[in-house]
Amino acid sequence: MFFIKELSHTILLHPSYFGPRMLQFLESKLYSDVEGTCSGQFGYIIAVVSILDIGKGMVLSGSGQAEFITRYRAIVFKPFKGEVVDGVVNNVTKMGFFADVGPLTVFVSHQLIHPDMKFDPNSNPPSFASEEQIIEKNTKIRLKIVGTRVDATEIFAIGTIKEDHLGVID
Amino acid sequence: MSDAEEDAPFNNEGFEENEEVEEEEDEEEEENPPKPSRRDYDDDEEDEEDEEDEEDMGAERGKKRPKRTKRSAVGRFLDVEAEVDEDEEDEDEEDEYARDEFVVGGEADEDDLARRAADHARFDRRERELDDQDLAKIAEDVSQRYRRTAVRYSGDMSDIPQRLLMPSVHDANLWQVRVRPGKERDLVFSLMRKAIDLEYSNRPLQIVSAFQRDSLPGMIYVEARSAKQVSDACNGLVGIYPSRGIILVPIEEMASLLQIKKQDLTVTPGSWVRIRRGKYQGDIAQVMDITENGEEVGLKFIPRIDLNPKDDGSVEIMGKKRKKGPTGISSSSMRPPQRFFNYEEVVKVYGRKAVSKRNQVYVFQNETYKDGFIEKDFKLAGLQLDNVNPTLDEITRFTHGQDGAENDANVDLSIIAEASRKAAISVLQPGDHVEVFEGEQSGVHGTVHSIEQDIVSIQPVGVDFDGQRIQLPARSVRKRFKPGDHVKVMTGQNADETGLVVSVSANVVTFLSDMSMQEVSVFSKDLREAAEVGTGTNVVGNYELHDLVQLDMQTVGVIFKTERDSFRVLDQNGQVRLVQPHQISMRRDSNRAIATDAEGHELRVNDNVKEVDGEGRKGRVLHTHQSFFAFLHNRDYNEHGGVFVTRARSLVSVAPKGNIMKLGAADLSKMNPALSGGAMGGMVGSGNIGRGPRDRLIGVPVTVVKGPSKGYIGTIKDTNGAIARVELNTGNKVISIDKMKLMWRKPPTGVLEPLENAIAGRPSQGGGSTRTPNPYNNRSSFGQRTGAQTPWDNRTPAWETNRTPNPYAAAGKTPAWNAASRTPNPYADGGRTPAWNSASRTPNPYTNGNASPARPAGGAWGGATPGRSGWGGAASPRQTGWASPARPSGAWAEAPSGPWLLKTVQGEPPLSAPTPGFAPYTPGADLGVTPAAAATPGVFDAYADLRTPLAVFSDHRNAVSTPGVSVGMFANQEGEFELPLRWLLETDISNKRGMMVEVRSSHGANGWYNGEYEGKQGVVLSIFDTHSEQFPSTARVQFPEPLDPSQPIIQVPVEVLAPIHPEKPNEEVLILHGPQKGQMAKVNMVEPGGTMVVTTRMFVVEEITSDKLVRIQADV
Amino acid sequence: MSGPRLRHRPQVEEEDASVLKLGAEFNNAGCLLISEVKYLLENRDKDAPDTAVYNKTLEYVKTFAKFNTTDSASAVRETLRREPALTQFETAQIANLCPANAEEAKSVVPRYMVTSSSHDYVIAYGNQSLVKIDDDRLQTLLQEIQTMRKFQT
Repeated sequence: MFFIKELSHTILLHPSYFGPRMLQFLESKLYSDVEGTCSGQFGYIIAVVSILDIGKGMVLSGSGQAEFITRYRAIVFKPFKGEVVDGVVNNVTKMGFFADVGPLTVFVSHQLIHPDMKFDPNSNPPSFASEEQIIEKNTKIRLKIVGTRVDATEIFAIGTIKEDHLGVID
Repeated sequence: MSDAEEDAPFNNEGFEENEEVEEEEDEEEEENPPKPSRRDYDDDEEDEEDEEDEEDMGAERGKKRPKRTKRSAVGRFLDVEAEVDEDEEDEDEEDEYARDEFVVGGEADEDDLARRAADHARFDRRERELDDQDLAKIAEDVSQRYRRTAVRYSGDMSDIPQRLLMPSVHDANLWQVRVRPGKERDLVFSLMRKAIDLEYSNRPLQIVSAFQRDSLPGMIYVEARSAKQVSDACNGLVGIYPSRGIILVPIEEMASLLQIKKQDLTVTPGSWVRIRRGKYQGDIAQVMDITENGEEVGLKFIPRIDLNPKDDGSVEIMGKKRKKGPTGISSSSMRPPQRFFNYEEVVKVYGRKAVSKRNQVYVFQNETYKDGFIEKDFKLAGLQLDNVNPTLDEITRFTHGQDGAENDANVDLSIIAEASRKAAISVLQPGDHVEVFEGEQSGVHGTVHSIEQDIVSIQPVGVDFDGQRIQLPARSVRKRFKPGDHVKVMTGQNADETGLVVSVSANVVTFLSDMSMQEVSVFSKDLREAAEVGTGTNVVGNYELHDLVQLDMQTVGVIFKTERDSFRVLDQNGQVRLVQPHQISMRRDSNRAIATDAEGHELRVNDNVKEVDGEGRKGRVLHTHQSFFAFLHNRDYNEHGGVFVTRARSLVSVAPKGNIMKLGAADLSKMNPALSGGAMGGMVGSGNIGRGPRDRLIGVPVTVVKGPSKGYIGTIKDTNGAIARVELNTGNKVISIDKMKLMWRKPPTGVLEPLENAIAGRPSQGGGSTRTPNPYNNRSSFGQRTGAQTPWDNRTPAWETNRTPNPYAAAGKTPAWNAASRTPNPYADGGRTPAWNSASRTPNPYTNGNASPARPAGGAWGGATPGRSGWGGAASPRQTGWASPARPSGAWAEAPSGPWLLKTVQGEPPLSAPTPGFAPYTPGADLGVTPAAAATPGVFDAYADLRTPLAVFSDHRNAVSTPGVSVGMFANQEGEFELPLRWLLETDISNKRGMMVEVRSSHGANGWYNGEYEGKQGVVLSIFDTHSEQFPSTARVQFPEPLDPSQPIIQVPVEVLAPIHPEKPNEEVLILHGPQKGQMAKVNMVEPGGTMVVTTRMFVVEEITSDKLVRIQADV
Repeated sequence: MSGPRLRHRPQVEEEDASVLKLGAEFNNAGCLLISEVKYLLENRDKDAPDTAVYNKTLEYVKTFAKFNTTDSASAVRETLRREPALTQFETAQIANLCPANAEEAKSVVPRYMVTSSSHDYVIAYGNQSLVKIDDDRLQTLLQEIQTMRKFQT
């Protein structure tokens, strides 16, 4: 689920950056620091929408650097267990398939695919197929996230399509 | 050992087993006829046992028989003993002698004949004696011994409650005796034999019993009335250490010492056990049947047949008699892998004769093989019954059987479950999610709140329970996992693997491994929920997943998979290798490696790129190697964990990089690269001296001022250390020439200036007034410099100093010292040979010592606030001090920035040469093109010296006192030599008087007497060295023509005093430099070029230049 | 077995969208429709950051945005806002997934209520109780959205 969220980020600024372009430095620093990152707490920070408060620079004793606690508003994407999402199949293996849901990769194990859908090793590209449906690369799929794992740099999720109203969408 | 054990009278096994085996045999023959090999084996064993028993029977029977009758009373203890004792012997038997046993028989027979005869005789005698004894007396003995317990008990004797059998204070005590570990059992037997031996002697052992426990190594227990009796009994036995104390076992602990858990009850057909020792140690086996007495079990397990036997193969070994355990040895050195029995394979190796087939069963080397499994009887003691923990793999292997086909005897999962359930209790932790799967609470799930022994209290989830906790036996709960849980494997071969649960069926959980993206199935008991990602499997040794590692000289590779103690590495040729950590010579860091992509852009680690040719794969750059190979990673590829190798030139960046500097990407907590750019860029920007910008001297228009090419004009094309390659305008010729011989033709006028001014001047040719450096820039640059360079690096060549971006220059200001160096040297006015001249070719030690001014400055100012303010203070006086040309040298002394001047006073030995210049100390070796350049930095240099650690300083001093020979050489070659500013304060000179001096450099506002005395000559009467920074050292100088006639003698700062050099023969002189320094001498001869031949008062004749001499007025 | 070693693990409330437990950070956060995200990303005044996350997201929202104009997106939001029983999350899910009927909506969108404080939540038994909107109203709502989707300009 995408959210719009107020977050804060701390930037340390070297004294050599003090000066007229300081705000510019801070802004670009903020953008480059937070955009595209991922944390367990907030999920993926997709893009900064606006900067609410660049913060008062507090000069730290000892180093002379200034600490800015910047508040900003950003689009974040955080997947939740139990959430139903749409995604695009990216890769199909005999164990299941991987689907991209925005920045998130969701693995759907063959155990969580309806038993009617069988892996067809001979197909090219590889696919899961039943009588009426086929799941292959670039198929759009509706799935439910059953679990997530948060790394330092990414979130990984596993999903299921073994429930009603889930599966291939057109 | 086994022999000894068999002898045990304390355990009745010898007999019992014998009988049991016979019984078993009978039964087996009835029920289970088609088991020839087992039969054979049993027979052999039996034979042997029979023999052995026979040997000892004579000795034992007397004792044993009565014991057996008494069993109802004491039997419990003895029984228990028997069970323990059994533990080891069987397996040893099995393991080592299994094959030999049927051979042993015949030989043993003959050996023992004699002994046996004696034994028989003794046995008979005892039997007779026993018979002779009055039976009534025996009965009385018995009752006497056990009366106490019996008396107090009034009930039915045949059913004695356990508690009445417990020892009391009236019973004999148990004593713990230390023995040699491993010898416990032997010693118990020795004690027993000893007891038997002495039984009818006049000093029988008074101990009642002795035993040991396997679980308590290094000690045996002896039952006796007193410690004395124990030590008597132990006396003379090797391996017992009564000296270490004979410790009384408290009564309440006695019983527990003898308690034994009944194990055999858990063995049921179909259950899993592990084999404890031998070839099959640790292997899992399934119980097929159990003998009636529960002592032996028939096991089925996967054989380990050696299909590569040694040359003198098994056939021969079999034929040889009594060869010490051949199979045992070979198996221990190299255990053959587990493999199902395959008739063809075995026949191929061992020959058709070795294997026989009966019914459905193969017999090979006396083992029975059925359906690929080996079937063999084991003693219960040789098996591990608890903590078996069969893994899923092992069980699947069993189930699938030989052909991979499902066996009809399907694995009874409930048995595994049963086994694993016990273990499960120990792995439960508070907070675990569990579910109840049996009993009336079945189906309830919740979290474990607490665990006490076998009872867990869980907090069920659900409205019914309303927060109340329920207590349950731990065995009826199991860990509960749901798809989506993130779990970590705690034990087993997948230990530390983490992943997301994909499916759960009963107690088998399938999860998708985080690392390998493969599905793994494990028992739920081995799992726990975990937040962290399996880092455990990510790092082996010092190496980590996706590290670039050097495998050998030619090969590097990237780790794409870590296993328990090895890696899979993809090398640059695309080959996959399995390597151990020790096979990796080093880890490589490609952060600085440079490679270019197909479009010529730089390829950096972590760039997202794609291939332009080939498969068009995309990926993130993990590493580059030798600018040619690029290792990329893309999770989407399953092959090699998503790592692949390709050529850097075939890659393009997925997102084209602009030329715009990405400001945001910079680290704002570091120095601003924009500010530190320009002149400083080479230093701070890259932090890499080696790759600094090209020498700024390149392209500078110069004039050659010395040497054969003197007067030519050219342009510097290249520099290398102190040498510059100059392209001359005339003749289109490139010459290599010392930089010292060059001067900068400052455009546009073509005025000649020192070369280093060109460096400083090119970025910005600031005026003298803007000299105050920006404190910020300076500060940081100093910090950087200090970090980057050793504060005092003697080796740093001077030219490097030149290249070192000047902090002041960085600020776009004229550098202070450069400014100073541009100030024409006041001494030069005096017609002195320019300082650079002397320094130019001299491999002068001071040249080595040349620190760039910034370096000591860095030390002083590197961030300390006082330093900075000090600098601020010092700056302006210097400015004034140097700004005006031809200022009398007195200005130096008067300057408030005097601290360093004074230090110079302390540091510099005054030299006898009358030149007050500092050329020897200048960094001017390169810098100095004008005399000024040489002289002025010299001040700094001296300054630097003073901050130098003593060692360096003394080095400096040594250099100062370089023997005159070399000096002379220099003098001859260069003809010049410069004295330190405070030559008068040098040792050997400061104590002299009568030196003729001249006042120099005393001009300026801060100059001495406003320069009024400039040029005056006088005679030094005494020198007063303050050794202080605050107060200038002075000399009392008598002026023959004083300005104020009333004051012919004035205190003059030593700095403004320059020596007057001799000019004529027969003048009295003082030698200022060289080995004869401080000596008075007389000029004998004056040679052209200022060289003089002097004779000291010690009649040493010296050839020396006049500037190393000062005239002396002898009559003061 | 019991001992200091066995300290209690902190019981973190599990996030589970199916019972609308989103964790402290997100229980009351403003959800964005995919269409809104698309609008925001496409109308950014800054240069697009070149991150994999950004690019994949952009691709994703372009693929799955159901309402391609700001007007239609805000109209949907307005429609859903009229239903006070729906939480932000549910609103966004309905708009993102556009379920065809009430049955589907109930299956793909969590329908269990979470009270404002994150901990004392009420769990519904089965599917019937605590359904906040009855099926008819839900059905009407969904139809409305379908219509908007069909006729967006």
